[in-house]
Amino acid sequence: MSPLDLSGPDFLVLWFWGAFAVAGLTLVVRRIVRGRREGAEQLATELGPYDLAYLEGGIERALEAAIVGLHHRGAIDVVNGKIVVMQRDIAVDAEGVFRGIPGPDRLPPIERLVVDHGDESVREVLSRARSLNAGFAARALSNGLVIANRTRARLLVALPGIAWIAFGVAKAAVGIARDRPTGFLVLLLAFAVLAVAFGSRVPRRTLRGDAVLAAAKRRSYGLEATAKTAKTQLTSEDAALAYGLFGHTTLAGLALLLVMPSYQQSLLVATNSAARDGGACGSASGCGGGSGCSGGGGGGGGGCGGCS
Amino acid sequence: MSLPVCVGLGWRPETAWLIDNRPRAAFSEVIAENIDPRRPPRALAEVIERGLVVVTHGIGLSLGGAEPPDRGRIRRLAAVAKTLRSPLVSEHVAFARAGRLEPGHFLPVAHTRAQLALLVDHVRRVADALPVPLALENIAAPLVWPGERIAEAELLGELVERTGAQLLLDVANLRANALNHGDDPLAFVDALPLARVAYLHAAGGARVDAMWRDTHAHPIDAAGLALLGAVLARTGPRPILVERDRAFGTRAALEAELDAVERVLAGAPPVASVERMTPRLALPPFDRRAIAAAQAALVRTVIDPEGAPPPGFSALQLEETRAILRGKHPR
Repeated sequence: MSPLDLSGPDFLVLWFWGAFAVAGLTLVVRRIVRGRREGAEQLATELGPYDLAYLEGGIERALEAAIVGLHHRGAIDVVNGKIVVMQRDIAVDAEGVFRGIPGPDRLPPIERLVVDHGDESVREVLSRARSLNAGFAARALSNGLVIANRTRARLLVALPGIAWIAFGVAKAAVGIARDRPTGFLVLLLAFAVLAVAFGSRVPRRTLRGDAVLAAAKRRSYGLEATAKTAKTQLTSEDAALAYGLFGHTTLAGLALLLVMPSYQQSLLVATNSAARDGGACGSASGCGGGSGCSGGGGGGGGGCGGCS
Repeated sequence: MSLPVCVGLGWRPETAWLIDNRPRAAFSEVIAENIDPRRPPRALAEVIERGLVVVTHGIGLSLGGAEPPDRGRIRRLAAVAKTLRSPLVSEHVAFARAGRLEPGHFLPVAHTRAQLALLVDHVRRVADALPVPLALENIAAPLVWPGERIAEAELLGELVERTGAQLLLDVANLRANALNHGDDPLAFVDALPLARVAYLHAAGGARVDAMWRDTHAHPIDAAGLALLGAVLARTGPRPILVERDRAFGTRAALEAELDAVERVLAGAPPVASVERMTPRLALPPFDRRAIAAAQAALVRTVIDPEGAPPPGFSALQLEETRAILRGKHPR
């Protein structure tokens, strides 16, 4: 007997339990689409700060990290809420990478972009930075850190759900043709469409990308702590890496934070939220996407202080 | 587990990244009162996971105070040591409160047999409650009790030999006491049971007003390094913890300071182990109330300069102590 010939209630029971099977299959397909984690720990030590920033938050985060790095070594400054380029003929930072990775032999393109166009608004510079997106994406793809075609990946992940919905639509059509009540099934199909649309979302990063980012952050918790408390202890590349991985919290209280597009966006979101709710938002810093939570307790700071 | 013989740097958020990237700084030290044992800073937890050995350093027990160390504080210290997998806990031979009076800085204990007896009692209580050995640190004394009867080195030696505790020999504090009170730092070291020295502290200081202060905010100068070398010539190579609490400067400068201390350590000749010291002093029963009254009188005069100071204390040293407290707790 064809399942389409089942009575309405029997079909609904079959279709309902089918949802669990579909959910499981969707998870499996998503897992396959997102790839494997091998080599993440090693790769986390080899990627530069801008590639890691890109992995965390796309070209916007990479650009903001470059702004932080250049500001740290005095190549740019913030005056009246705008970036001012102080040094156009900037050499490669000889301090290089404190983590032991060889430094670049020429200024990274994203730093070059900021130095060449920094006197424009940051939004205009961000617009220009999108031209570098292809380079970042290519490197991330070659390292297996991002999904090549998210639309295709999403379609693959959605396939079990689509098949399940199609099965339900077929039964609804049979029911309508036989003049049977189908209202409830149609309502369930509407929810099913929403569930599949939501459940088929595929993150930008592969599992390897997630693992590389997690490993990089884990290895850099000390950097996060020092970036928040003693910036003089950092090289400019350290400062860029700290921002790239942990975001706004590494710049709290600095005028530099105010020029960052992501921070401006977070203020806008916070303001709209406050206006909607009729109350004050909490601290605006850290409302932005991707900013790392400092986590951990007890600070660890201060000392017995000797005899001051 | 004993500490690795190397030069370490006190762990603070400000020094965390440097420590992460200096594998030969294989041990460190953390102020226990700054750590929540249930939720240590994730940067610290991660570096411990990667193998950093961390000593738990307490500043709140007030071992030399008249009252027994608070059991809650001892439990907390033990909890921090367990969380950080510390092989050693260290604390100070000093008092930090007198009843409800808290001067906000370590004050030296009187060098008397009664005080020694009290310290022995307190150190035994703490050592019994800790999961790992305890090391005791000599402090930089801003003032000296009048009528001192036992040399500080003898007091420390008797204390550790009677209790089984170890010694944390603070070289910067030795220097401060030498400059401020005319102590002979090397004679001090020669009088200690050197086999008990678990590790050393090294730190920079500066002359502020009338006295030399162990500030933990300045690099160790040539004289400080020379004293460190002279101490190591007596103790043999030992783990050295460089203390820096403020004014961290650039990483290059801090690394250069650690490199300089490493060179001094590398030049330390091995020393044949010294026989243990046998305690020789007869200790009287101690009178807590008498000790409490004397300490309270001192703390009151330090906190409130308007009152009459207890007899015998140097006015200059009392004023210096007040200046230190003002610097630590500006009003």
